[in-house]
This record gives sequence, C-alpha cells and structure tokens, in this order.
Amino acid sequence: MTVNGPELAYAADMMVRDYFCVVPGDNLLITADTATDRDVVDAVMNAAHTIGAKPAVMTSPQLPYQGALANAYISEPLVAAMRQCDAWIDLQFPYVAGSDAHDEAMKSNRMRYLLAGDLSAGGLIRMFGKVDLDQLYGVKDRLCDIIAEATGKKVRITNPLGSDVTFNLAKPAFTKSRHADRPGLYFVPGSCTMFPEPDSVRGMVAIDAAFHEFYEPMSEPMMLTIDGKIKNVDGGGTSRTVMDRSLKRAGGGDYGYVIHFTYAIQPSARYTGKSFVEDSRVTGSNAVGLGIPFWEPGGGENHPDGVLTQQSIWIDGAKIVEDGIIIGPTDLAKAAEAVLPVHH
Amino acid sequence: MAMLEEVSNIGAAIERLRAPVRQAQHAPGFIYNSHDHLAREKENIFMQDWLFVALEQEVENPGDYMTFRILGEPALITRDAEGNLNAFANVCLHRGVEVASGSGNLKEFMCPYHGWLYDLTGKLIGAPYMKEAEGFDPTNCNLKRLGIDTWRGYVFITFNDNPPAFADFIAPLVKDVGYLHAEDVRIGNKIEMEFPCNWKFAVENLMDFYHVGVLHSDSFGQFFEWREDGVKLNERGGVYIKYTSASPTPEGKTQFRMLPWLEAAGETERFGCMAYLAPNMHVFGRCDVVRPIQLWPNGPDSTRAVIYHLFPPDWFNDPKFDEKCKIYRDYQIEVLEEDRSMLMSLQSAMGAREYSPGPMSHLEGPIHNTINYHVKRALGNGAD
Repeated sequence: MTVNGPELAYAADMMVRDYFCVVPGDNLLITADTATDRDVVDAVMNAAHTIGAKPAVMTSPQLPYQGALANAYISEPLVAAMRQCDAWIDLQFPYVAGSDAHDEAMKSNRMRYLLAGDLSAGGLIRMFGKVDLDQLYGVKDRLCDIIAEATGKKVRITNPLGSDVTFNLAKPAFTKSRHADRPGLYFVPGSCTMFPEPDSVRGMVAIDAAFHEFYEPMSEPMMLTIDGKIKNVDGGGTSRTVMDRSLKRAGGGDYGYVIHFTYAIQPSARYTGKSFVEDSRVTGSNAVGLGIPFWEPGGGENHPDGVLTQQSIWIDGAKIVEDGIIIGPTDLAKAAEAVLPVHH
Repeated sequence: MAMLEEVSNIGAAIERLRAPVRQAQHAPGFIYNSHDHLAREKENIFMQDWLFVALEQEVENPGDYMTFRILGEPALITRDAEGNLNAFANVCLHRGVEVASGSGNLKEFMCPYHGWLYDLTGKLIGAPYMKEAEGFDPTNCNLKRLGIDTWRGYVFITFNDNPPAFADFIAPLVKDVGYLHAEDVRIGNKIEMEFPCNWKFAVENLMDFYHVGVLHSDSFGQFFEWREDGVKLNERGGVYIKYTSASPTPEGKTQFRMLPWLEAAGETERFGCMAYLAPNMHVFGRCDVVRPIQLWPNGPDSTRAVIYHLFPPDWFNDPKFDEKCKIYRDYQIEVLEEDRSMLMSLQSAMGAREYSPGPMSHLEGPIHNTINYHVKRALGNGAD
C-alpha cells in the first residue's frame, strides 16, 4: 500500500465529508504538531480541498499537557485561527480541547471541532475507511439509549486485569451524533460514553494503558482504588509516577474523580500501543476519564485517561457486555455481532 | 507505512491466558517480575490462605519452636507445656522486634531488644520498667495469635483472622495423598535451596512434566513416564498426578525398600505421584520416600525451597542410614540444580524487550490450571 493510496484518501474523505460534514466554502482548520503523522495531515487537507472547502494547516510544537495546562504553549495565531474557522480537525496530541482558547472558540457556537488526536495513517484508514459508520451508529445509539434510560441505576464493570467498579449512572453530559453537522465538540466514532455520579464510584479500575501527559501502554496493570474519589494508585511500573502527578493536577491536589467510562465498538480498531484514540476504541475497551471533565466550565485543567480492555458490564444487575462483547438485549447483541470490518 | 502495527496489551494477554489450554498462551512478564504484583499476591493469597510451614516432628516437644519470615511477616510456632501447638506473629508488642529467632527449645521468649518476656502461649510475663507507664496493661500485650492446624503431621498456619475452613482447604490432599501416610515417616533429609526466580516458576516447574524428558533426560527423566489420564486438576489451582518413576537415586534403585503401605496397596518400585496444594505445598511420593516441599517467595525474582525426605522410623536403625540418606540428598540437589539455569533464564526473559508469551502445550494443563488460579486470586474479584 502506498502512503497516498486510495484507502487513505477514502478514509480521509469519509472523515472530512461524510462524518465531519465539511462542505464547499468551509474554512477548515487542521491543527497538527511535531509528532503528527504527516500522511494524515496531507490526506485530510487533500480531502477538504477536493470537496471545495478552504483548508489550512497549522503545525505547532507538541503540547506538553492537555487542557488548561496547555494555555501557555498555544500561540496567538492558532488562537486567532480557531476563532475564525467553520470547522477544526485537531490532530495534535495532547489535543487542544480543554484549553481556555478552545473553550472561548467553542462558545462562539459557530464551529465544529473534531478531536482526532494521535491517529496514524493506518489508524485513520481503520477508524473511518474500514467500518460502516451507519451500521456502527445504529448499535452505538441503541446502547446509548439503554444507558440514558438507566440514569440513576447501578453499573458494574469488571475486566480480567482485576477491575471491579460500580457507580450510579448520571445523565449523559453529551451525545455523539452520526454527522457533525452542527457546531460543537466531536470525537472519532466508535464508543459510547457512560457518565457516573462521581461520588458514587466505588472499587478498583485496572488499566492497560494511560494518557496522562503522553500516551503509553503499560508492562503491568495500574490499579486505581476508588471510593468516591480516587484514593490510591499502584502498579503501572514507571507510568505510576507520571499518573500520580497528572491526577494531582487534575484533582486540584488530590487524585480527583472518575468522570467517564466508555464502551468501545469499532471492529477495525486495533491495539497498537501508539494511539490513545484508536486503542480506546478497540471493541470492548473502556476509556476511563479521570480528574475534572474538560467539557464543564472551569474544568479540565488536565484530564488523564486510562484504557481498560475486555470489559464486562452490568446495568441494574443485567449483564449486557461479557469480555468485551455485547450479549444483551438480544436485538442489540445481534446488531453488534453484525458490525464487521468493511473492505472495499 | 505499516498498515497494521497491532501489539499485545496486557489485558489481552491475561485473556489469552484464561483461554482453554489448547488455545491458551503463557502469562505476561509482569505476573512473574513485578514487585506490585507480588504485593497483591501477598495480600490476596499468602495473607489469606493456610500455609505449610513445618512438620509436627520439628516441634515435637514442649518448648520446641520455629520461626519464619513470610513475605516480610514474622511468624513463630511453639509447642507449649500442655503439648499444644501455637502460632503467633513474631512481633514484640513493645517495638516490634522479633522475640524469637531460628528454631530450638525454650521455656520463654525474651525480646532481645528491651527484654520483654513471653511464655510459650504468647502471654506477656515480664516487661522491665513498664510499671510506671500510664495505662500499660500487660494483659493486652500478648503476642498476636495466628491460625494453626495440622494434618497427618503437616503443620499449617494462617495470617487470616477469618480463614477458609481447614477441612475444606486440606480436602484435596486427604483424597489424593492420604495413602502416603506422612504421619508414619520421619525426616531423613531437610534441604533448603534458593532459586533466582519467581515463586510461581518454581511451583510450575515441579508440575511441568513436559520438560522432564528434555532437561532431565540424563537423570530421573530416564525412568519417567506419564500419561495425560494420570493428571487430575483440582479446584483452587491444585493438581494431582500419578505417574511411573523410580526411586530418586542415581541408578533409580531404592537404597532401602518399598514403603510398606505402598507395597501393601499393590504399588511397585515404579510408583510416582505428585500433589500441589496452593499456594506453597507440593508432595511427591515415590516407592521409598515421601517428599513434601515448601516454596516461599523472597521477592519477585527469588524463591526459597524447603525439601523434606521422609522415611519410616525403623529404617533409621540401618547402620548405613546416614550414608544412604545422603545419596537421596545429593541426587535431589543434582536434579534441582539441573532446573536452576532454566529457572534463571525464565526469570530473565520476563523483563526482556522481545519476550512475548508463547502458546501452551496441551501437556501443560497443570500449569494452566495453577497459574490461572494464582492470577485470578492476585488480581481480585474483577478477574473472575
């Protein structure tokens, strides 16, 4: 496969035109950093140009942190650009979301932002080019409906590494729609988010990989003990030191809360150990958000995430996911089973 | 550009370990080389379960005692004047110093630091210059009792204040190796060896019959045959294997004779069996010797083995007993030394960049059963 082959072009088109709804004349900002896969940048820009949009790429040094901690590292030209664009695909990692400038730009309510983070060219192909997004959203939306209807009910999540955590479901903070046709914050498709009542989270979360200041897989599980707030972190080898300081930043001195869980269903996503965005969307994975939510006003100084794999999920005592696979309700399980990689 | 750069993550590695043995892969490195994982094993396994620590004949007389350090937890067993066995945390109620060391026979234990004195039942019977201490009540300063129980001469202790029922714990051993009559044999050899490997590698090595015909082909492997239908996998990671072997001597010939109860049961000189009772006890039976083994983690990459050779008491009257017993001892060490370099290499691999858990052979069913049990216990309820 060549770098600029048809699969990458197709995937970029699916991302830019089909999912992110870029139309002729749109001012599309593409932000990248010094670690971004340039093939992705070129493919996204080419796709936008082909549509008839007006893409511009801004490349910055890689941010040392996410969220408001990144404020000091974001240049004024970039701030100006994000205020002036119609749509923004952020390929930086750590991403710009959560920074003060990002918050201000979103308040304009005219711009669509896609957090596409650390996708490689292969990742872009798998996440947008090797899946039927309509079919995927059919399953995701049905699962999200089940979760939304279960607001207030108890959820239990386990996994083979020793996770065993319960929480009460809060109202969804946001939904993820199939098409990014309105101003707002968008993510790479492939997961459904569960928001806990933060004080209700109890138990152990064992993660395989972490995005704290950077993203890294672990050689041994990191165990987060949670009793309302995160009380203890152990394991994780050398990652623990970085997670410790990241959580303390995120929690304002203590470890803070668990602010979201997810269930990922993306049949083409693969665990590469190099991409938080893709790894956390491998079917059965769970991106466990820690600290303070960046989507809340004043929140999101930093928002570390852990990746938990092969999860099992119970809602209100009924097991709906077993070892990463949806097993119920029956109609949902059948629909999920039918979501397979697509090859053109 | 690589189209697919998929790598294994540790969650997936544990999932593959859990698969049926013919689809399973061995465990990822952290299971064997992580300090944090060992800390979980200490709390979730060694501080919960019954642990094989001694033979009753080692603490036979009033005043006999033995001390242990189990993953940093000092323990003491005594035979008191009434003939009862006791187990305690070997921790002075004053500053925490171990009140007894090694083994021997004493009427009381005096803390070597400030002289607090305890009797064989753990009761504080003296505390110099403490009368003036306000609120000091010596009756609240007895050594903390640990659980203790015995079966056929084996002594077990537990740090768990609410331990699993001993009868349930010991049941597999009752069923599988009760016929070895450990209560009717006495210690000929007691061998202590250190191995530079994780304790689970040592446990697995002793049930890894897959390797015997290769690594031990010049020693006991030449007398060794086993069949899969001789393998019984027990609950709680236990294993019992009956197989064909020989006396554990260089020529494979007994220096004594058959254990009478095995002969009466119709067994031959080719009798062999092995039982594993998690977490730290193996029992090997051969035609002429019973060999219980303790395995103790010293750290993630260090294990201490205590191996007993038990023979019927009347054999000790043989004028050449010591000489013959030494043959068993030397041969035991020779065989275990054959394992040493493999255990070192296994341990080294766990930290190697290129190590990736390989597939299991169907011959590794006992290891699969045992390691999955240990991993689930260590990782907690969520791993069930």
